[in-house]
Amino acid sequence: MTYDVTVGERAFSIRVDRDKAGGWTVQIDDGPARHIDARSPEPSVLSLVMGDRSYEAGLAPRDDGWEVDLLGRAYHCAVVDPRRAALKLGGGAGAGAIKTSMPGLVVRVMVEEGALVEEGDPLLVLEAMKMENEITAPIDGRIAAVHVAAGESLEAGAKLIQIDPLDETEA
Amino acid sequence: MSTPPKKLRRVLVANRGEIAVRVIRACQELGLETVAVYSDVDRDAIHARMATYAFHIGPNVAAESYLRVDKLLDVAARSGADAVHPGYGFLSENAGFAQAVLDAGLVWVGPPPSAIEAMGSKTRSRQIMRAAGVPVVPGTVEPILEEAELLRVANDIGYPVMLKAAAGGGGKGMRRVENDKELLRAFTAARSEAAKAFGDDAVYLEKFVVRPRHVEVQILADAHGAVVHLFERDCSIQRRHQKVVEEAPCPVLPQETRDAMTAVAIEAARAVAYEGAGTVEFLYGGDGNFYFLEMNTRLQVEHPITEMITGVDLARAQLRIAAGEPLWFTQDDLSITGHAIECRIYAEDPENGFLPAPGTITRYREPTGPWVRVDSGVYAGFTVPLEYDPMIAKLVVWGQNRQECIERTDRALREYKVTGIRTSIGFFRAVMADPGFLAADYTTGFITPAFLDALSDGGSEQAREAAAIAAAIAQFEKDHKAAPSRGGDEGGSAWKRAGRWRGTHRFPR
Repeated sequence: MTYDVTVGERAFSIRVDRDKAGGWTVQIDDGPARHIDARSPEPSVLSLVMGDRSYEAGLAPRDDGWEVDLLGRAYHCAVVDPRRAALKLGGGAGAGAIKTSMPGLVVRVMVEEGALVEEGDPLLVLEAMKMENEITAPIDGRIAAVHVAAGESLEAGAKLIQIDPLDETEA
Repeated sequence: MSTPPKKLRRVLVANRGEIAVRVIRACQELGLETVAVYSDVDRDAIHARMATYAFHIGPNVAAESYLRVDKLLDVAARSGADAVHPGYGFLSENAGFAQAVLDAGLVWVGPPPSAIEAMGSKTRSRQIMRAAGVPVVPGTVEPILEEAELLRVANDIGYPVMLKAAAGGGGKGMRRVENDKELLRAFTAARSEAAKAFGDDAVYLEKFVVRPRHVEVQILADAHGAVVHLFERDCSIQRRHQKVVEEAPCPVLPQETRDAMTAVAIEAARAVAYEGAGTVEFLYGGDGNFYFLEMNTRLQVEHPITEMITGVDLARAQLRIAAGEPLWFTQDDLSITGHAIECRIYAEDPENGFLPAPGTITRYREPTGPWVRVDSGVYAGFTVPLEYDPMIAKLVVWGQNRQECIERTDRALREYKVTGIRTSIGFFRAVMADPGFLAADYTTGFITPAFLDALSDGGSEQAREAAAIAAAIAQFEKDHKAAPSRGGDEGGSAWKRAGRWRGTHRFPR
């Protein structure tokens, strides 16, 4: 089984298979195949012994892969099965699609659909854990859609606002 | 001259999370029964489970639960509590609540309402201190209500200025502002935040002192006129003007400055006839001068580091003083032994602008070993609510000297395992390794954008690779899990999931 695993800006192609001894054979990119002893001695934990090094990884599932904590740092590991990825359609909304990276409550929305905004203009205010956070426009443009309203509770990753960059004729 | 100590029996702890747990521990040591209160979301929280009694007080929103004086007094009456400990945050510095507790015939574990009122308003406390000849930072004494006045004062003092909530604390409603445009925008936001956090939207302006450190003095006062100080804490490592790392003693304070600062702190306490535990905060400038900031009329989050270097249990002391006991030691009995550091473990992502990161903790292992203390209110399986403060625990470490304390703190941070939510643990490891921190050469501006950038592109290639391998193996397990054992996986209790998981040594969806 081969997975594309992306950690920050680093992309790995990792082939993993169980071996006969109950451990794992792992091959990264075009490197040599390695034997790895991986065990889960307690929930959410994977203890890896690779060569002589011992690593303890904490693992929490995410929509697109796993959040791994290792040596006191958190690594977001996006995992893609290339065979499945080929079936999915591409397409993204680009820089004008504003999402929240934290759960929170919408306190105020300062813009309406159709409004023109400049980079840095306040769009809305989110509150989480008693702090208010002002979300500002990342680009110049026109508000194409407002997906949220004041008083609404949001999950992390929720769409907030869509800004379309201005056509040259409008600028 | 005064009444003999009262015999306390049952204490209502009007708070939640790790501080409620801290207070319950002190009560239990003193043989007192405890009454916990909890909102909907906190039914499973540790404080509600470890107290002798537990009462539901309403929905998650603090304004409808932990901030409801009427509900708390009702619980006090129904539970037969004879004292109320407010913890910190929430109603701990609310003179009206303190008075209502006293009016109900209960013991208030805190200073008299008059002292809370005098020191609770930053503007009023500054007036009192100015009158007593204590140096204060240039700024307004009165709350500012109008934009025109705001702009005039800011330009008189000169930018940069600090905009602060009059009733505030913990950095809420506080902003550094560089120009008129920013000021007007910050004014609205600060007032709104202050109103929400403290029920009072008054704000004031202050000059921004250059190269400042935040140094504060712990005091204890009994009801019979005795006041002692328990030395100082340095709380300069801050993000969003909120403390994240504290150490005691302050590593750069000359003895004569310590003497002067502690004497002023005792004066401040006497000026308002203080009782109980309190903290007098100072800005300690790069030029060696110190300025009164404010007095916190409650226990502080960072109180454990003072406990570690003095051997005095401040929460127990609060309860004994509230019962009317005279102080059982004098200033001469107190001295500083070794060094202590506290790291506030927050559910937030330092690599992403310290954004709050509430969610479910799937694995939780606290560090132990010599001279390591963790005050926490969470466990594996607990969901950190987004309604409350993001602090989930405090790591407190003692060492014979500062160097040993830093090394031990780093060791403890390595052992601290939290999976499922992001925390500030990795950030603290970077602080412990920072040359400026090691040399004790830092200010309240320690956390720079550059420091945070280094944080997010840190992590060795080796570690990243190991994380990627772990993720690939976990994904393989998930993709190859036998179908029958997977039915109804999303439902069911955490207990069942954990059991299945332990049994199979596999990973949940």
